[in-house]
Amino acid sequence: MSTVSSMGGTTKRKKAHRGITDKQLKYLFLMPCIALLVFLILYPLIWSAYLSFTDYRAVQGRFRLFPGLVKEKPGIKVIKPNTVGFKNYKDVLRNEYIWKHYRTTGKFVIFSVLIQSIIGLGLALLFNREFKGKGIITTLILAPMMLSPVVVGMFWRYMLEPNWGVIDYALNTFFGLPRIEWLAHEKTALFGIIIADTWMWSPFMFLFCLAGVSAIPKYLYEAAEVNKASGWFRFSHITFPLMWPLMMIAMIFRTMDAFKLFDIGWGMTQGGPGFSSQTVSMLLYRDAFLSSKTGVSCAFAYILLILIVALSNIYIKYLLKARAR
Amino acid sequence: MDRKIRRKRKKGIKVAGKVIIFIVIAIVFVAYVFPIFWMGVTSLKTKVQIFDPVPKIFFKPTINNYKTFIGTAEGGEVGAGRAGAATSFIAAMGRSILMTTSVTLLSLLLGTMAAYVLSRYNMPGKDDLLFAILSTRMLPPIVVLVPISLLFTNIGLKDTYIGFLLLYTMFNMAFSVWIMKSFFDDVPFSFEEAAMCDGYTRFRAFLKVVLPMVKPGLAATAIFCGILVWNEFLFAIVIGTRKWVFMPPTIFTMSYGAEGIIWGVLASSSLIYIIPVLVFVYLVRKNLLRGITFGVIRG
Amino acid sequence: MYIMSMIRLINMTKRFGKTVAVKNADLEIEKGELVVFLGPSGCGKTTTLRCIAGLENPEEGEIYIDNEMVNDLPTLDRDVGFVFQHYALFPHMSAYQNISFPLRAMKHKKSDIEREVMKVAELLRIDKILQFKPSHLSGGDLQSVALARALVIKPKVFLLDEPLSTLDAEFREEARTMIKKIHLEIGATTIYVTHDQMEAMAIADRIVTMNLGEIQQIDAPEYVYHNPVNMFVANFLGSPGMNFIDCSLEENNTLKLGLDGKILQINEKIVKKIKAVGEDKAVLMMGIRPEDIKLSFKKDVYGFDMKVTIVEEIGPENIVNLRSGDHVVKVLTDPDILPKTGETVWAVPDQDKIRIFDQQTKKEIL
Ligand SMILES: Nc1ncnc2c1ncn2[C@@H]1O[C@H](COP(=O)(O)OP(=O)(O)O)[C@@H](O)[C@H]1O
Ligand SMILES: [Mg+2]
Repeated sequence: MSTVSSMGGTTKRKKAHRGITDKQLKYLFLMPCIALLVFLILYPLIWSAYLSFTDYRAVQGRFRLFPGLVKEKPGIKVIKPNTVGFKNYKDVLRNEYIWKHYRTTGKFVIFSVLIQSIIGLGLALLFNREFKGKGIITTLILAPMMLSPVVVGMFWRYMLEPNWGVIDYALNTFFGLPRIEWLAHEKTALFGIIIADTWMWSPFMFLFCLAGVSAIPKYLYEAAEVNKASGWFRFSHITFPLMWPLMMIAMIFRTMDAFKLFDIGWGMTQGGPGFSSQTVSMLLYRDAFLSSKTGVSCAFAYILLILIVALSNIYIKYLLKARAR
Repeated sequence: MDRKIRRKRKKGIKVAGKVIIFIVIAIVFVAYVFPIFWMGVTSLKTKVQIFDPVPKIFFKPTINNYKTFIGTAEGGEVGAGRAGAATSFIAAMGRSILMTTSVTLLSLLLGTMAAYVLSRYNMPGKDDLLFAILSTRMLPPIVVLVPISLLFTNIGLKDTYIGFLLLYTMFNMAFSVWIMKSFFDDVPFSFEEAAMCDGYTRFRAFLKVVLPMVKPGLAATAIFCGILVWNEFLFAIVIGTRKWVFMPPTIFTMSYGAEGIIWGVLASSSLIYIIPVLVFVYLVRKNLLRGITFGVIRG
Repeated sequence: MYIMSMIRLINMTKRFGKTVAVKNADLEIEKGELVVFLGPSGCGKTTTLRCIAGLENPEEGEIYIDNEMVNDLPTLDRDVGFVFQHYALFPHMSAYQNISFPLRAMKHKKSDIEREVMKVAELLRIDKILQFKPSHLSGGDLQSVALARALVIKPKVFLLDEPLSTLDAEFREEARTMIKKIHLEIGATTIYVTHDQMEAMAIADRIVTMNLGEIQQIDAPEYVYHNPVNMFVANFLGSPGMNFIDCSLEENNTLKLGLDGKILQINEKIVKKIKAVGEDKAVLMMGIRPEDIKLSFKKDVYGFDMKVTIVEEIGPENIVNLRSGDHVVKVLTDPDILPKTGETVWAVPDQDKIRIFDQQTKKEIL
């Protein structure tokens, strides 16, 4: 993976020069990145770990670790929240309301990743041939995932509108299907979001699958043909196993992203109707920033974090392995 | 004999197959492009035309929606047309452009530096650091957003330029480091060795020899980092409450009128907003693959 | 018309855009024969083989396998085994899975598959490495697995595209012997592609020499070696290849050589041969193999004088390089003949081995 390991000779030779040494350059170049990581990821995580054991609510006032270190502006209240032990965690884990959101999220993740994978794979197989305008068509198909998710969400809300939306109109006129109020029913709201998410993100799966499929050398297909394999056998024994590592990577990325779904959903339903299409991210957003349940939110976030870290740990290991190939 | 029949049928199937594939590709293409096309169509419709239960592709277009959200329409529409909306749209656009440019530049700078070191040097904990950087991509932002928001409130970075700059740069880091590293990995070390034999310092070798060779990588990174910031919504609504309000939240709030969402305004402002993205996607199409795949796949 | 041949090409032409990869190929291969396609890189050997396998479709001509016209028959339905130049083993499958692949594709019974695989594996002595993936196998084993995969379906026709080209020199001879042995054992009609004339000479029943997409000569190895139909074949077979000296027929049974007008006395037999085709005035080319020249250290009218430039000692023989003007003539001598550099010697060709070609058409004059 890394290209260079035999650096000893040059490093020594370089010391004679003026200017920054190799070692200095190494730290100078890496420092800002590490500083940002510590300041904006590590430190907040430690702090929120602490807060998750308190009954802190951000609206009550500011919480200073070292009160008196800075001079407070007039009108700002400084408070010290109480430590409550594992109460927040117990509350979150026992809360059926929160578990419902986990289930909603899980449903969203499974359906959207699955549907997008199938579509992506199908498109990749479809596009794994030469035809006129392939480049420009591919580029245009990839455009949706570059758009602002919240805008995509809102626009799909418009298109899925039962009375004047173009989708229902088309389904009704051309296929005779009844008009569905996608986003107004608890049963279908999440599927409305899945549709929009699929429009936006199946190109991502498509891209990975296409890369996987087109990386299979032509001579392997010829070998398959000479060796009597065609159709389904060729697909299941040659094409799919050889493209699977890349498809897997894409599914990992999509799973992770689907877990944190916020923008599209917020643009479409804001979690409604009721909280039928509300994912954990949306709930957490409401709890933390609209209801200011800071301590509880931190515990909630930590549980989510542990879940994600456990998942991504497996995934990133796999990723690094696949990359080292 | 039956073999002969099979042969003939095979040829027929081939032609039919080609036609079917052509049709399917056309359908797929329309499915992905249609929503963007429809956004353009809707943006040119009047309220009455939008609420027509039979959506039409051909109609008498109007640019009233555009006038409305820019704030020059003579009364009529509510919501976005209200006083203050005009300034807020242009100002939000300006802030989005400013923030996107600054974050992109900073991400490029820091990401390139870190990626170079991570590509060229061996050191203890290198894989762990790469892992940590990548895991920020996996992290649901909402999880760290709670403490970050508190932190920013406490040290006065909330709703400020610097606060956003640092935050967005951090969340671009995974992207800029990994994609640039994959480009650096493709440049053989012998180029620096040759330059250093010619008396270049390591730093100058990096600047004058290696950097020009990864220009496509810089372009791809810049555009993908830019698009990420340009489209960001969650941080924008949590951290930017009053002064630093960007375009996505503005479109979101602006489209809500007194009688629900003003679809024409939504379509027109969204379209204006996504056009730069489409242009950039077109410009970077050669490196699209490597950009989107995080450098996992060598483009 | 019923022809007892296994493979038959009639006037086959294959083009890639403007390049004509194979031009008007006519070829007939008997059942059980081992035929070698020989020629320099890019001469169309692989393309011909791929046409027979159905991996390419020729624009013109007909292909018969076992008396059946197969032009429109997909590869799948042609009864051929194909060994690719770089093996084309499936990287994600073990040796066993690779070898059993065609049987699995044809939905054979599991027990049958196992039996067949073990049979070829034992024949090729790879029964110990069946569980390994290609990335863990040596070049020789890869090659054996590729052969086994092609053999396991017991094809009528067995096609090998430069199967030894990726092997180290030391294994090549061994592998060559093995392929010959397998051919004798199985008796499948085999086409073997190579650019190495030694390999071709060692293994072939008949050699098909090709150049620039055209078949030059089809004959048994010995015969081709001694009776090449043209200068290309003459030069391509043998190492070093045949020497060529331009010449014209003069009075008194002599040839005037292109070496500063040197005169060489020749047999009447050769003169008659030249006159019989009425080419006595035309510009000719004399061809003589390096091993058919003797060196003489004193003047000889049946030889011509040249200067020694380099003597390459290659063990059982010496290659003596002679020069006169721009012309270089190579001579194979016994190892104890060691002329000094700069010395003048007389190269005396064996009269019976002298071949005369037409310089224009490059064809041998019969
Ligand atoms: N797929 C192809 N596309 C274009 N040209 C090809 C292709 N395959 C072979 N050729 C050309 O056809 C000629 C014969 O090639 P080939 O049969 O591979 O030669 P050989 O196997 O004797 O080395 C060459 O000039 C080669 O460049
Ligand atoms: Mg070849």
